[in-house]
Amino acid sequence: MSDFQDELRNDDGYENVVIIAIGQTNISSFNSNFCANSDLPLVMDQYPGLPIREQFSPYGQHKYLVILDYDGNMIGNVQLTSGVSFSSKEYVRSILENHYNQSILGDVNNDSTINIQDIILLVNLILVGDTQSNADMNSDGIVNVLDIIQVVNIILS
Amino acid sequence: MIKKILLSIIFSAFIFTDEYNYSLEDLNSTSSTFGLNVWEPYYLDYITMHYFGSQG
Repeated sequence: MSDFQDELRNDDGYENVVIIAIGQTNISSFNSNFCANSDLPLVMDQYPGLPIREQFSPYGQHKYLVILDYDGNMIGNVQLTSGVSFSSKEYVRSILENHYNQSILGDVNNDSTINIQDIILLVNLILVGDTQSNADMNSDGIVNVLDIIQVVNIILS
Repeated sequence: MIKKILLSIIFSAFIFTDEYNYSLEDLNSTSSTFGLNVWEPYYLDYITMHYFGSQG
């Protein structure tokens, strides 16, 4: 699974995709087994209620991979009964092809153009202390007035 | 009448919404987000895939 994420990011250019493993708190072996072979994020569904599985029902079952878009809407699901097979990989790639946003630096609202609306959103991000990768114009890890200046320059040029 | 229509629109929006979310600590010590809360807020700008394991 970790290898597949690497393929998607490095070979296919889908940098902003992540596979999150969801275990269960009632069994202790998953953590050590999983972590020894993977660098994917791992969270634990709380036993006995298992609220995450409940939320994803009927897809929160053994070996299900559920794909969600940027807004948390389900855009696909597949049960990986025999591992990440070729057909499963192709299925996931077809989903990403239709839903993945190739973000443009400065296009904060992801509408494929850079204009005053992006500046407004950028100001809002700064005011609430939030960050967004395509808003960090100078790639210094923080979104601030320097990024606004760069977006203004793009609009004026 | 208009009020009824508005209420039914709002109600149906709640029924048909398909949004999922959770925010839990990443427990994998070999993950780059170890100790941070995922998927929200860390992976909000990502397409996320959620794999359900049978183990704990």
